[in-house]
Amino acid sequence: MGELFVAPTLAAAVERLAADPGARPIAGGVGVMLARALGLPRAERWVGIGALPELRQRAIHVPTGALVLGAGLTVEALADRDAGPPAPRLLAAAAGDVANPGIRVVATIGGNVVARGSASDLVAALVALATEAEVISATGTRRLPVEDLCGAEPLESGALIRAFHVPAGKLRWGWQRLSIRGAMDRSSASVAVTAGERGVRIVATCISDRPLRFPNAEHALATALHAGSAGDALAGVRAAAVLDLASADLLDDDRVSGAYRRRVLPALVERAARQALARA
Amino acid sequence: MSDRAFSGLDPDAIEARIRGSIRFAGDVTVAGMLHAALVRSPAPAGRLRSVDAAAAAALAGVVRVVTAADLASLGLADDRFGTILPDQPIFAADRVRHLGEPVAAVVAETEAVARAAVDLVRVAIDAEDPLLEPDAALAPGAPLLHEDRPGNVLGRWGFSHGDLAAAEAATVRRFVGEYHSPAAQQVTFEPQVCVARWEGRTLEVWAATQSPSRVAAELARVFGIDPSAVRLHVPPLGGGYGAKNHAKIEPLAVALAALVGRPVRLANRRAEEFVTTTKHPARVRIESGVDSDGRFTFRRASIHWSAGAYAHSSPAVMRAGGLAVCGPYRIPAAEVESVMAYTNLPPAGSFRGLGANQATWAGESQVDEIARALGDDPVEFRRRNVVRPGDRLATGERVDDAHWLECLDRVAATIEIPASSDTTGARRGTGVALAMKHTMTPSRSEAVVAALSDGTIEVRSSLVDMGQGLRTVLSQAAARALDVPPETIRIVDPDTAVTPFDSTTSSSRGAWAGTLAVGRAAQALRQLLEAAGAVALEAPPEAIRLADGRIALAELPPGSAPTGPTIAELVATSGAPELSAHAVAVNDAPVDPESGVAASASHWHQAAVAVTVDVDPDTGMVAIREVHGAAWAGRVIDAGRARLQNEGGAIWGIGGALFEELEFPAGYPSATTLLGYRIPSIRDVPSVLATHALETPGGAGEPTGLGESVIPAVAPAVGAAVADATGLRLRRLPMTPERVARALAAETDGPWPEADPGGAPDRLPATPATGPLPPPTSPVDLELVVDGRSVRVRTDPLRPLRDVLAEDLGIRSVRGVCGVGVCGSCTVLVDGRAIRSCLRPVGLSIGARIQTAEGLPEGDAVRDAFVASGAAQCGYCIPGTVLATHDLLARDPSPDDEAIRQGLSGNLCRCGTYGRILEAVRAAAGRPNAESDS
Repeated sequence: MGELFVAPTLAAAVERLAADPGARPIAGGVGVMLARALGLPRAERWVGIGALPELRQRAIHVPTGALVLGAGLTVEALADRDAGPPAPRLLAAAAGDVANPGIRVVATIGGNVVARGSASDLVAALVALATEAEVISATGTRRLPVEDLCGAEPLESGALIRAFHVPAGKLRWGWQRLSIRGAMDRSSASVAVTAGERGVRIVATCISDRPLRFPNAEHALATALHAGSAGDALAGVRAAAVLDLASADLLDDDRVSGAYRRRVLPALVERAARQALARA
Repeated sequence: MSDRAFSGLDPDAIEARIRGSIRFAGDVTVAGMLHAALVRSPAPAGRLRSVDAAAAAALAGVVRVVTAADLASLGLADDRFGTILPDQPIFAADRVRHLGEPVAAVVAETEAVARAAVDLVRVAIDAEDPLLEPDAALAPGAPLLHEDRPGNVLGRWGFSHGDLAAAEAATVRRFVGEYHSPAAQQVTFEPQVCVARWEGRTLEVWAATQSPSRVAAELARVFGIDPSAVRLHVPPLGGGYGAKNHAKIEPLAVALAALVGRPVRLANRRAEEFVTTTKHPARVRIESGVDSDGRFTFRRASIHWSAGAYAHSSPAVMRAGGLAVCGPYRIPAAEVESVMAYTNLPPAGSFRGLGANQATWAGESQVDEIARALGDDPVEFRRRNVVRPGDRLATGERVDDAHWLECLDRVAATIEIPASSDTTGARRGTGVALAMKHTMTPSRSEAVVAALSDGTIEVRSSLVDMGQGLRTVLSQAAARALDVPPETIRIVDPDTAVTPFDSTTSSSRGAWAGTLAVGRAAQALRQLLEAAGAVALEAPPEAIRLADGRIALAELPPGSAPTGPTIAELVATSGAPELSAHAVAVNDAPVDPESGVAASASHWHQAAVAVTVDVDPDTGMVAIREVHGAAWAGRVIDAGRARLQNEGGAIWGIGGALFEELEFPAGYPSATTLLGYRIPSIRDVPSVLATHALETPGGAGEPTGLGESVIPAVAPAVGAAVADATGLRLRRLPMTPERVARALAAETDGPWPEADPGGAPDRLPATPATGPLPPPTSPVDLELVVDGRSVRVRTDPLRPLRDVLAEDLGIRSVRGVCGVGVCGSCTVLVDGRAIRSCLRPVGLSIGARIQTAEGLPEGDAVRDAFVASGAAQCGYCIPGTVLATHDLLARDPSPDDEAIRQGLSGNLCRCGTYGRILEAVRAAAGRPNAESDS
């Protein structure tokens, strides 16, 4: 028989997870309950962490200036600009496209990243923002890029995400998402673009089993920005995106084919880049 | 009294749906009731080798496991059922013909135990190659699905009219095309559900069906009992759309109840709905000719339908599509063949727009192609060819009640659309299409109208209320004939022991049939009451009239009030418990006096639709910006409900045009949840959705029904608009982004490969049709605060909060529809926030304040706004939407329309009530609503 242990503190949660290798953390419960409803494999023992204040922090890290977002913050909270240091607008835009309001109000950032991985809208934005996840377990804490959480087993047994660290800095950004229905539809392709002091990042999710970067398109956009010819460079960004996709394994799923994704992604990259340029 | 005095909604029925206090068939409980769950075929075709139920039978709580072999003890008159064509076994005996076909059932003390036991049943099948396409099934030598159906032909229907040779000789341009429509699913939010109870040889059934009389008769036939021994109750439906038009699971529940000797409840889960009934996939080939004046010379059409494994309504669909494929045009010569083939797909059944959707997609798409190829304006081409009163349809039958031109003119005025100001490169186009759908002919509706001893007028009809406004129709028909206030009318829910025969509540016939049958019965009752009044007043009958519920002299002095006996007093004087009258309405097909040929339909549902779209050339996304629909109503009884029916139809059409599709690769459904099968959300409704219900001037017309009229025209209008925008003609529905993008790319780059050449991972597996139950966690005692009350439950802490609220606490308004967080019907407020209770573990809700729709206080402003706006049809989803609105307005007291659409984007309404919901939210926020155009 399984069980649910609602942890009173983060320390208690970590202790419980360490003591029971079969246990898994549960916060908003959306991913866990959806897996149950679909009859997918799941753990039988759960450690409730959704109410822990330690996972709901929202602060600026001193001295790096990075924004620290507790993994237990809800997806909806990312769009709330009055609850503390505001999340980057790119992240808020991506959050606004997650599922529906009734899910966003309980689904957590950490849960979304772990449960959805490379199929997450948020992951595209987080990776484009060069976000790191702070993972805690009984053996200590460590940081890793968000894209490293997108494998088949995102976290080792006994671990949970405490927070996300979003680097500071002024950014231009763009966001594109493609779905078949006007609302409440999983993305067929999500593209995030950032351009700032640390360079350009173009990231797509919901297209493959990993978040996809576009190095050629990033280079084309960065070069154009540096040269001040950005307005003319979009066609080059799009062409470069085609090259970036040449060797990519793209997903055929119940929404669209990989061939379609290959076809439309360069256009989405160009549009997101155009948005970023317009936000100069 | 004037008609206007009766216009408006039936507030009691609407309010009950909005409050969530209405009780559907699934809410019925009967003393001693057991629960059943079905063991379904895991293969689409094959020989059934064995069913090993030993482990299931041993599970605690299981009463019995039933297979086809057990049915022998029932001495059935027929071991196959089917309202039109009995070809479906209650349980598969020796072979399975579609995925999900019932092969056994578990009857248990609880539904959870029954479901758990189903997973323990081992079914062995020697799988065979399934026949998935009609052409394959019809090919010579194809294996037969039914031994008594040679060639896998379920039926053929067609006609040939006119001199085709002469017509072809007059032809100057010839057009040939092939058009495809996919399978789809009705997605009634209330699933198929039935409770059956035997008392000796008497059967009592509570079912979610649109056809109580027909289903009751079928149960009597199969089980070999007198029809009078079957009593079938139909509570209000949570959506029908054709899915509940024929017997589906009722014979199974009845058989199980007979075998275990106790009442049995059987209800589908959402995944099971996708293998119970679908929409017919169709391939339509059309060849048309026009002369030098741009007039039709001939049309040939061949339709191949996939019926799936069993008939259901296939014969009716085959005929309806065959009648619609030539459209409302003067075509002097035509030849149509409509062939229905058995295939190894789940049975296809009635689907809102029955048969006309597939045929009109083809027929009207080709009309648009012809017009554009001729350099003609598509509206002008239609004006030139459309039938006018007294003209003949392609079948050769004369049609006098023709109003397509009026419908066309009404929407044509709307399609002068300014050029796109979109800077993304979207291409804008407009399109128009007509729709012609027959109504079920012949059909019969009976009604009894009774005056009771307390003065109440009781209307007994077996027409089924599913939120389409039927109660208003019946109430007004009786009130008008009897000249009594509508509030004195009581409508009895269908109960075959009490309510008389009715063919079916489908084919958009309810308004017509109800008005006529109830009106006639009420008129007969009026005569009865006036005769009794004449005796009481000792006056000749012709000097008596009934007015305002009281007998009076027909010629009263000016200003004097009626002083004769009231209706209640007349009933009391009679010595009988009631005075009642019975009447019949039959819509026989009129016979053409010139040709002697009977018409195909007593009347036609007629409509025109115009749309404007933007097509994204990069992604293939089609954004519908405007939809204008005009439908012939004859007479509008209730303007509000008429608008809802029209708007709901338009939204239904949008889903079919853009994304509703159920594929069956290798015989397995591409979707078994509402995650994978998309129905329109509020954000898919265009910002301009204007519908018009056209009437005979002076209110002299007969109401013809509006539930389906505009639907068939939406997809071809969208297709025409896409063609206008891009120059591309899509001939396959739905027009998904990928399908449009592929067509656009094929113009320039050649066709894409179906599979991605980059070494794509395998296609994601389809969700299993019935997933195993999750392992239970240890039950714990939980204290919840629900609607202000503390309650204790002992349960699995990972159990969905919805299940606890609905099943343990009996709060039925928290509906379980999708179970995967998509639809919003299970919305509750937790600490003031609207959440999906199906995805909320109850163990994480301890200490939170849980608010349900049923627990909202009297005077709740949001709910009152919904009631005042009449923002409900079937109502299954609306309590959740009310709560989502609470959340929205708490955070944004003055939302604009975009904020409302965003805030309610996760609350789906299959009836398409979105326009009225928008109005309700605006009203709740204190914003004015514009006047309706309908």
